[in-house]
Amino acid sequence: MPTMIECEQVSKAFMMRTNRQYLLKDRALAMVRPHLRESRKLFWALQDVSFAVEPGEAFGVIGPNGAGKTTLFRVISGIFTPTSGTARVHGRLAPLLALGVGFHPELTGRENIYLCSAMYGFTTREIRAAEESIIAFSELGSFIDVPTKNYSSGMQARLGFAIAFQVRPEIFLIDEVLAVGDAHFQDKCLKRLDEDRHAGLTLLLATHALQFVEDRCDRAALLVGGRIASIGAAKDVVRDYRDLLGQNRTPLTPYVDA
Amino acid sequence: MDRLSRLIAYSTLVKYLVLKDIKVKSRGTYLGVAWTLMNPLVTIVMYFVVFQHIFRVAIPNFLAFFLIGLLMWIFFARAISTASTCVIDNDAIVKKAAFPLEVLPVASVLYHLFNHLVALGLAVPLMLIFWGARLSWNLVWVVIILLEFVGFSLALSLLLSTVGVFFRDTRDILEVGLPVLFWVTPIFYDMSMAPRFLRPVLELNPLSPFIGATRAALLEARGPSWTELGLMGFWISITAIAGMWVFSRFALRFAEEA
Repeated sequence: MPTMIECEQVSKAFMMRTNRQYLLKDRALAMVRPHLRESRKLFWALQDVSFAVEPGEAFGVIGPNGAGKTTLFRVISGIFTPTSGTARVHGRLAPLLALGVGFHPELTGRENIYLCSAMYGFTTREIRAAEESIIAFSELGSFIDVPTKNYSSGMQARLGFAIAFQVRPEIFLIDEVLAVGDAHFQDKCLKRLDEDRHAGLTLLLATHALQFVEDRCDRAALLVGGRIASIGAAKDVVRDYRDLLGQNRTPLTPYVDA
Repeated sequence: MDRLSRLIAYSTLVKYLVLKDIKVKSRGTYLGVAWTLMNPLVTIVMYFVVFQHIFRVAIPNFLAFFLIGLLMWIFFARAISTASTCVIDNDAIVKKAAFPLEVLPVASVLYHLFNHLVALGLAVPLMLIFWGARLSWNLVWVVIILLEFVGFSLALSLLLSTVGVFFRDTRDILEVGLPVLFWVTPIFYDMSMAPRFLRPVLELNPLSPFIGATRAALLEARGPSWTELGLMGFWISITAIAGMWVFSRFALRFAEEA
């Protein structure tokens, strides 16, 4: 079996603009007052990130806020194009960057199942076939026909997860959404995730729950300031991250290129 | 071509986005989806009173003549103004879900097409029975020209949805520009009635051949002239090439800029 996800020296730069000059007025003023001029700097959110995820593997990505985890996941999902390098995906990938993406608050839970599943590329027939098991998994009962604006955030998360599990992808990309719902629902999700893993699911997961990475991931990478600071067996990488946190001087300043 | 096949694979999403717009608009109102009917009905009745009983215009069958132009205008103006903000308005899913972004302008045009079809469903029978439209095989042209008009509006929507992401003034420009365009489009009058200095503008106005040909088919039971066919083909080709090229070139940056 080939590698499922292959990142080769992926870099992503954003233009960081201060004093952004949207207005013509600002542009005119800047001609006489240099300090008002727009400054543009390249902000490297990811730099030379290379790693590969093997079939059936659970791979964790950890790191402080702003380290580039979400950017990396967007590049892998194809939402962002890398500035340089390549990210290849072999197999059907379902990105779960947030729960209930595309939910409209005025629509009922059931209507949102259709809208949200269609966003993963499903046809009406496929959604109809999965509808009942999504509702059962979410445990929403008769609330399923209530507009989601009246849901608690936990209820929304449950529906979001129920839909995502129904996608049955080969590769699951989960960005920091596991810590939702009550203990009962979390257990249920973890159990389901374990089942799917036994069935061969490849998992790429970004999280702050280090215990989870230690317990359930085979390998992990530590991202700091857009670079891979450590990569290898999950336990070792988590230890490196704990050391880094212990030093208490997490470098939050991004690498900025003038 | 690759983009087109991806779009077709996501046609279910287009369907649920259009349904969402229709449902959300009427949810919580007493008349519900019947409002979709009320809006054109009131427009038609209003102009019926104005042009049959208050102003008498010398053009034969003026009410039908005017309504054809007006309804086509309403569809066009709403479709392109919605398209100009459709990416920004959906930034939440653009940043978090992986789907072909063409879905957004396509869904917004189809939503307005739905409203347009409802309006035509009301107006065309009235025109045929009371207001001087002629039943003939040439009505097939009405359908063909409508399809071409949708194609033109869609192509322009692709272009404007891209421009609207990078240049936020687009919406405001349309807001002031569309009323001007309304008066240099043959809606209240016929091309032949326009003063000499306006003729070139009217002839360059892409909307003129679409409206003129639809009027001819409905009111004079005659097919479009070669000039009209040529002009429609010309405008569709130009906008389609520009729209598809610009959209596919810049869509990769929507998630960053939206």
